[in-house]
Order: sequence, then C-alpha cells, then structure tokens
Amino acid sequence: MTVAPAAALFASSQTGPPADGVERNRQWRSRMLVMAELRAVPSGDESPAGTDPNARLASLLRQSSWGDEGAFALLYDAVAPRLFGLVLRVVRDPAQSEEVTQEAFLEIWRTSTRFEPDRGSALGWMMTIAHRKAVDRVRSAAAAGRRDHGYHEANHDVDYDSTAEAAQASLEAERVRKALQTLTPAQRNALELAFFGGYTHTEVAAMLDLPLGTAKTRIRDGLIRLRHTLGLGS
Amino acid sequence: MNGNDMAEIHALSGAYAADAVDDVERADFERHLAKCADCHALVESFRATALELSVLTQATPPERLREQVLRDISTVRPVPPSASRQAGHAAEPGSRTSRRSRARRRRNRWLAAAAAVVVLGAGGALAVIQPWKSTSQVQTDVAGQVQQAPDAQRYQQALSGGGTITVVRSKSVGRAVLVTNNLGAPPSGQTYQMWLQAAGGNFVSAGLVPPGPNQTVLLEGDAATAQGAGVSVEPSGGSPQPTATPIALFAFT
Repeated sequence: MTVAPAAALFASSQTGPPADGVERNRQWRSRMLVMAELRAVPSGDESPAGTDPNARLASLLRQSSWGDEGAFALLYDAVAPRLFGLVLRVVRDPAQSEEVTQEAFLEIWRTSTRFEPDRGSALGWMMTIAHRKAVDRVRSAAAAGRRDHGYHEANHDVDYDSTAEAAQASLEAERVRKALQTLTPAQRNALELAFFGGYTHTEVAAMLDLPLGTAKTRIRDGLIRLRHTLGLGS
Repeated sequence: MNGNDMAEIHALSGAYAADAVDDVERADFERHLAKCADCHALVESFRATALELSVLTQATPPERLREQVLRDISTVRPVPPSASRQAGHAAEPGSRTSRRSRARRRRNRWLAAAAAVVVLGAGGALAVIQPWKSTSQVQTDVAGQVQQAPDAQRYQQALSGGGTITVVRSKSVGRAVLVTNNLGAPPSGQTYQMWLQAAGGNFVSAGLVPPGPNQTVLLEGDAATAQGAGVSVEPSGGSPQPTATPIALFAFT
C-alpha cells in the first residue's frame, strides 16, 4: 500500500472566477497533469516506462489510443520540438509549419490504435507521419507554383531551442553532425535534399546533374553509411 | 517481375524511407513492401536512421499549437484498429479495451447520476437493488472488499480547514472508496461531491459524500481505469461537472 504525500497545492476552495462545468473540467485535468509530472520527476521508479524514453512514448501512445487526452498532452510535450522542428525545416514557412504539425498530431491521435510497437519505435512512427505530411505540403505548394526557394536556403540550420533539453539535444546533434561527415559530399547532398528539402529522388538527380536513377542509390548508400556510423543495426 | 526490376525496386528502399518518391513509386514500392520482409526491415532501419537527422532541427512550437492540438483531439475519437491488427492480435487488450472503456464511460455517466440520486436519499427510503440486501449494505460490503484487497492503493490528503480525505482504490475490485476524517460541514445549501477522472481525462461525478464528519463511501464508477479522483464543494444535489476548485485531488498510480 502506498501513501501519497498530502498536496497543500490544492487546499484552497471556491476561489477564482466562475467557470462553466466544461471549462472547470479542463482546469481539473490540467491540475492532474501537473501532478502527474511532479510525480514523474523525482521518483522515476513507478514503471519501466519511466526509465526508457521510447517505452514511455509507446505507453503514452497506447493510452492515447484509448481516448486518454491527458496521456496525449504528455506525448505532445515529449515530442513536439522534434516534430515541429522537422516540419519547419521542410516546410520553412512558420505558419504553414504550425498547420502541418497540427494536422500531424491529429493524425497521430486518430491512428494511435494502429501503432504497432513490434514494428518500430513510437517516436519513429510519429516522425514518419509528420515528415510525410511536411513533404506532401511542400510538393503540393510546388505544384501550385508557390515554391520559390533553392538549394542554398535549404542548407540553413533551424535555430536550436533553448529549453532544458538543449544541452542533451546538442550532444545528440553533435553526434549526428559527425556521422553526416562520414558520408561523401555527393551522398550527403542527395540525402539532405531528399529528407530536408522534400524533393523526390528524380528531382534531386536533376538538381545535382546526376544521371536519372543515380540519386536514389546515393540516398540509399548515404543511409547505409549513416546507419552504420550511428550504430543503428546492420 | 524479372531480376532487373527486382534490383530496381530494392534500390528504391532508401528513397522510399526518406519520403523521396513520387506517388506512383510509393504505391509500387508499398505493394512490394507488403510481400518482402527483407525490404520491410531495411526500410524500418533506414527510416530510423533518417529520423535521427531531426535532432539537428529541433524547434519549440508556439504554445498556441499545443492548445489547438488538444482542442482538436477532444473532438475526434481514435479510429478502430485496422482489421489485420484485430485479426492478428485478437487477444490483445488494446483494441478491445478501447471499445469497452468507451462503453463503460457512457455507462458511468448514468451510474454517476443514479448514485447521486441514491445518496441524496440516504437516511430515507433507499432504492433496493437486491431483494435480500439494501443498497447501503451492498455498498458497505464492496467498500470493505476494496479496503482489504491485496492491491489496494491508499492516497491521503490533509485539508487546509482541518481533517483528511483518504481515497482507497483497488484495481482488482474495480472500485474506489472515500474515507473522511474530521471533515467540516459544507456551507449550507452545498454538499461534498466526489469525482473520478475517467480514462479519457474527464472528471465524472462519482456521487455525493453523505453528511457527517467521518464517512466511508463507495465511489460510483469504474475505478480500475480511472486516472484519479477529486472532491469539490457543489450546490446541494451535486453538479454534472465540477463547478468549483477541488478541495482534494488524487492522481492514481
């Protein structure tokens, strides 16, 4: 039997402006979220999911699939910078990037029942949805003739966020940057244009003056080398 | 498909994983992917690799995006699992539970409303559910089961005005009990109301606390899937949703 500590936090009663039931229910829920976060930080021993970030994401995703909006809010907080940053890099326009990220999260919520943990990581599954949507957006913009940026712009890094995770993130980023340097320039260009630029391999071939069919090989070879350097399996 | 075509489609695995294919190629490749386990594993590993690149581009979205996303999801339910998954994992709790818990949540509202009525009448004529036992007797029995269950979890909170509220929850029994100790009387015309936070996050009425400083009362509703419980002071008769700040809030672990 566990005895939870008394929380003086919630001792007040009947304060604040009047609110309707729905709004009040929202407030109660956000208080519960705060409590969940407070609980998650110091102990970290409640479940195995607390120690492995990927298991935690998978478990939050699963709870979301049962309609648990609180779990989804935690999931959002955990992955939003990764998803939004990637979308922003591909889409570039901040307002459109917000729209695309919003659509991606709604899609993640809607199809959370279809995530299969034995077929890949939760983060990977969510990122795939966001990346696909970002690419679709820039391609339909291109089809509508609104895309006017070139390769040089595509090479700018998006600014890093300055949150508490920034230090950890920059360590990881350093590792990935180093791994990218093990690629040949041709492989790196092709991969970056494809992944961050949202171009098809056929477009990449044209942009880099490669024979048709060569770009996809470079993308694949680049991924093989990157995978090896990052130690992500054979 | 001859050997050349096969080599051709395999060469597309990297571009596919990086979303660098057009719609026609994507459709072709996905047809191939469905029958080629090797490609499947390859694509997954390429995808994981490409996604590592996103550590280079992290950016904090504006706060309004969070609000929009959370507003969006409150209006849409997750789709049912795909047919193949249901067939493949028929015994897995995921798909079943989602449906069951939705049904349960619907039922909860009625149970909660019914509980409010029953408890309102406490002391007077109680509705008799089983011919051989009064409702209060049944409640007391279940309350005892909850408190003695091997998996009982106890959460206690001291109130600023004195007294304590304890919630005991047993997942195996599926119910929770609220125990008050030296609880001050509510202002006249008001009552203490109990709430369970359903799996979906919403607080749903779990009945009213009978008058008196030391009470043991069974919360109505499914406590096995509940995420937490709360108590607030509400107008006599209770409210369909909380209308006041909670005097106590318990997060189940």
